[in-house]
Amino acid sequence: MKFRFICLLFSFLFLHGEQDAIVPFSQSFIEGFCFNPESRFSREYHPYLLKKTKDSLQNLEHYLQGRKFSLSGRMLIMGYEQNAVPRYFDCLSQKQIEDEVVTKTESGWEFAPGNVFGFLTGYLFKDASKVGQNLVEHIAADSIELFHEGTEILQKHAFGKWYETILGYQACIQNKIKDAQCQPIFKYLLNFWQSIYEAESKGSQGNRFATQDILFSFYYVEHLMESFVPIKKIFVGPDVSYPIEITERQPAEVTKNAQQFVSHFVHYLKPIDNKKTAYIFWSFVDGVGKSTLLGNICNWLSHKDDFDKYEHVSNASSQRATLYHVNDDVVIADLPAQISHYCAKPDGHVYIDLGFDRTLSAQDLGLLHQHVLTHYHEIVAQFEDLLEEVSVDKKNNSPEEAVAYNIKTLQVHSAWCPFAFKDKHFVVNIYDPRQIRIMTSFEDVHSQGLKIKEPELMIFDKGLSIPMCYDNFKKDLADQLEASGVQNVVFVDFLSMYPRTSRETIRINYLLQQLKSFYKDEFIIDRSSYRSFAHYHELYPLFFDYKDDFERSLFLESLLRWVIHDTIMQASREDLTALTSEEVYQRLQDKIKELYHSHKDQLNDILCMVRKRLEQEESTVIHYQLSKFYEAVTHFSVDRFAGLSEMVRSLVVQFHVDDAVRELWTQLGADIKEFTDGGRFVKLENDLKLEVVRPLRAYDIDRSLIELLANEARKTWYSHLIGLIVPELNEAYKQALLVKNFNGTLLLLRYRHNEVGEEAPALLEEVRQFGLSGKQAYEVSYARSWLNELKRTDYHEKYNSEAPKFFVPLVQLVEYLDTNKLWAAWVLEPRDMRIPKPITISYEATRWVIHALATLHMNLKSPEDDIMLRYGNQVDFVAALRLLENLMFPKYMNLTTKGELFPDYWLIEPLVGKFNKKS
Amino acid sequence: MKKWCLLILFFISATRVGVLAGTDFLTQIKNCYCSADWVCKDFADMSLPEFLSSWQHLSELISDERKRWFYAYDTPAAYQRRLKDYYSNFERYDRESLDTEWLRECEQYHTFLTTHYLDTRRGVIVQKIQKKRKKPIHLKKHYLQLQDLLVQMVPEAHFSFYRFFFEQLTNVMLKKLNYVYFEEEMSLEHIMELLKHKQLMTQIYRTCLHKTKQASATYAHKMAYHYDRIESVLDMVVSELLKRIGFE
Repeated sequence: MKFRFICLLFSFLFLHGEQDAIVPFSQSFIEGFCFNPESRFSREYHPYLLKKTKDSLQNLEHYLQGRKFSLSGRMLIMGYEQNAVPRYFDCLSQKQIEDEVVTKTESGWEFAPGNVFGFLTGYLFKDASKVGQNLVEHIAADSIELFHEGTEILQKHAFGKWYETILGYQACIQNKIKDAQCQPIFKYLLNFWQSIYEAESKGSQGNRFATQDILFSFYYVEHLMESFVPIKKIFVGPDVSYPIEITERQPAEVTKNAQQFVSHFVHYLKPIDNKKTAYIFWSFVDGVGKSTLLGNICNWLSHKDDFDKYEHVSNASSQRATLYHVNDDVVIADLPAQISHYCAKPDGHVYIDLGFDRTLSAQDLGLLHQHVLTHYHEIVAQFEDLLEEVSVDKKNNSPEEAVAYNIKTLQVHSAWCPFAFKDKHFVVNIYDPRQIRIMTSFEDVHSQGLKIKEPELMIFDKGLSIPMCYDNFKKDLADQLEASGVQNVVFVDFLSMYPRTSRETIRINYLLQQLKSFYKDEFIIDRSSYRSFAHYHELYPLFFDYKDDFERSLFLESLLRWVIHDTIMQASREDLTALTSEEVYQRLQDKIKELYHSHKDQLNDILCMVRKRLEQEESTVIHYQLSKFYEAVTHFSVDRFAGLSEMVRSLVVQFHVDDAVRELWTQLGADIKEFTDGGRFVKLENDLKLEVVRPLRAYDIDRSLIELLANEARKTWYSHLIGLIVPELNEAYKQALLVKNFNGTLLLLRYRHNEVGEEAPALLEEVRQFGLSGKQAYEVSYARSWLNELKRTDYHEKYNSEAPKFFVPLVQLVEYLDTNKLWAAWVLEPRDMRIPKPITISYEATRWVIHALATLHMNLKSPEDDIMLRYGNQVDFVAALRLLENLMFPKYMNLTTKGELFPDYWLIEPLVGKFNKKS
Repeated sequence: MKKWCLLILFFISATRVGVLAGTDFLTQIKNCYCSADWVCKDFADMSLPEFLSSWQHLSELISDERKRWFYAYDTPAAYQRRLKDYYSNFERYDRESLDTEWLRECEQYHTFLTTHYLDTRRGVIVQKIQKKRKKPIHLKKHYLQLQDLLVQMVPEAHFSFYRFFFEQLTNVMLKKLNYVYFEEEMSLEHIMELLKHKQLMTQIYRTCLHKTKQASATYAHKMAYHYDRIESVLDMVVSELLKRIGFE
């Protein structure tokens, strides 16, 4: 009995690792979870891990002191991302670092989140070099546009309502710099960072200044303030430790700040007190430019300013300390990021842009492009076959199989198609064959490769590197220093504030792949916070339309993050090790099984935490349902747009009174036979010729395109629909805007009769301007005044400066009309307008026209509209029917009906699209 | 006699086809500091191949910053000096006259491309201007707008020009915004002028984005970003100015 108890205790203590820590770990992760899209790359930084990391810094300093090294001081490098606030002037021609990955979604562009708080920190130090002191040095401050005189407007725009506050902090810090006092500078910094983080501060365009990555700066600075090792020097500067290497997309001039810094910094690498000195390069997290500065130093020592000869700086920082001998008296000890002692460090390959590759010659590139152009269809077809064949259970032998496997497991629509050419591996973009990427290992890749956002393009075939136990790590470092004869130690702290995309993208892609392997159908990327966002308002559906899936995704993510962390801790041994992909998979799987088996109560607690956290956040997201972007762009569908085109055509065929018009519009329904005139026109099966306006692909959708389509299509289709009951618009039918499918591609086409030429009558212009919305309709009307007043008061109070980004739902307008007597009087007032001739029109046609107009407005909105009919919302749809019938027709078209047009408005379904169940 | 007449006609037409046409276009345009007005007049007299080739030269010229400076403003000595000197961007943009000049030039080229058409049957360039407040012009199918022609025949050259135009326009807008923001005598007319610039910017942006899709692929996201941002700066400043003059 005793023996069994001892065995149980032993297994609990040694095999279960820190199993009981699952709750505090998850609590820290969930409570600190930021939902905004910019936080995608910084969720690893939650207090549980940060605290551990901070302790490890302290621990190492004491250990080295205990080993009798003299800790002479420290230098602090605070690099920041120059492009976090991209240049306003010379926006296209200015050459700059461009390694951040931008993704095209089906509603616009997703830009990589810049590290704005780092840039703001740089701003606080902008005048540091203008006062005589030796503590703080701001490298290349002149190169920053916003630091110049005469840029107040740009600063106000970039800093939003924080402009005055930032100026205040800048003045305070500048005073302390003059006095060369470190502690007060750090206090101000902490205070500033805390304010902007807690207030969830944003710039004028709604971009957040700080995400969770600001937290590691808090902890790091706290450590610096508590440490007994004095700070001798602080370097601040834009991209000062960026790798200097020349590629096609990175000419020498873009890294001039890093060049300036390295040439300056090497003079600081001197022995202290004539004793051999080690400069310890260390940092809290990865991606702060530690290894790259070391690489730049090595290159500088060998080649000075002959940058063409610079060799690639490896990204593979070892999990053990590595010593570099600068000269007989100076060594540099390169340490892994402290947090990597507790985090996963997956290894493998990634596909990067050819412009950042240095292995292919110009001739190779020419051959490659030629190959893709001539074999493009073959490549796509082969890949489709591979996608069919690849099995989840089978081991993948080639990178092409691995990509296919990833696409299948992740269940994503990838824009990339893999292929091999001359023993190298590539992917080509199926929408634009000129975009090709080459496969490279993480170790050798340019920094862009560390930021590739598509998870299917990362192949983690080298498993996980496991750090050695921290005690062994410390001992190993001290032993190496002793063996080299080092007596003095200077810490070089990298507190750089670069975007976290550089290291965290790998971890996120690894996490997504693991989540999809273990929870295939439970975890849906598009319904998690790892979907792509063209606008932060697209968070709304996650919280309200896919609430259950979203909750589940967060729960599973927190479990898996714990499982990975605990697996690493358990696998950690006296020396460095690595787990193969298969070993990792097996260990994670066992641990997950065990969790569900023996930690049910803890899992329930975690689920409750997730629910509570989501509830807390809901109130900050709910008003995004009124976002103009979300309603007009995210809800736009190319297929429904094509449906609207067909709706208009078939109504004209059905209800137009003129036989010739009906005949022509029947013919316009024919299919496309071929392209003519070099693709400018298409010929239909009946030989009618239509001009090609543009192909319509979901991939091309963005705000500008929707605005263009909405304005053009509404203008044309309004004429055609209203023309069915107003004969004066007969000329309108000599033109048509149609969407047709040809070989799987939708084309926007324009038909124009030879004799067309009349302008739309003034009557239609009035109707168009009424058109329920239209920002350009500045005609002072009662509706416009009401709307302006509403937005100026209620909306401004609720949403502050963001008010212009939100629309007013149509039903709100109608409710207002129903209760307002002044409005009722205005409706009855005769209008000074051209009165159409009295005619009799069919009730059936009128019903269909109103029905179609409401459908048109439900499916197609310009992002500029102030009033919108929400997609799928029945209440808004009914309001539109009533508004068109009771206001627009009598007031603007002099059309009155006897009684109501529809027996029951709530039974009318839209002609294109459908209602949401909830509405 | 007939033969001589034909020869004379041929000679006249050959000399009429552009002073600047042909391989000397680039040299001529640089040496003469041609204004867009003059260049466009010459374009209008060119044959299709000459026009396409000259447009390519023009786009190369404005895409290359060194040549562009030389062409627009500098004497050869100043040009040589500029190659060596470092100018901060604000020093460069303080030279407002240069930007405004470039904007005017770009507008001229843009107007030319949108008001001139190639008559594909006769192979000549013709001008069609829509008069204000009149019915829109509808041309026969064999008329092809020069802008569309460039999109089809030399998309890269078409895009480089519009990319440059976009940048000049946004630069000038930003400077004007700065100017009106701090100007006490600012009036509604200033704001209206800015809004006109914005309309033009939208037009240029859409031309770049939707007409020259392939050529603009690497710039599409950058332009989208800057377009939204300039719009946002404009909204910020205009709403502040309207408040100041009591409109909001």
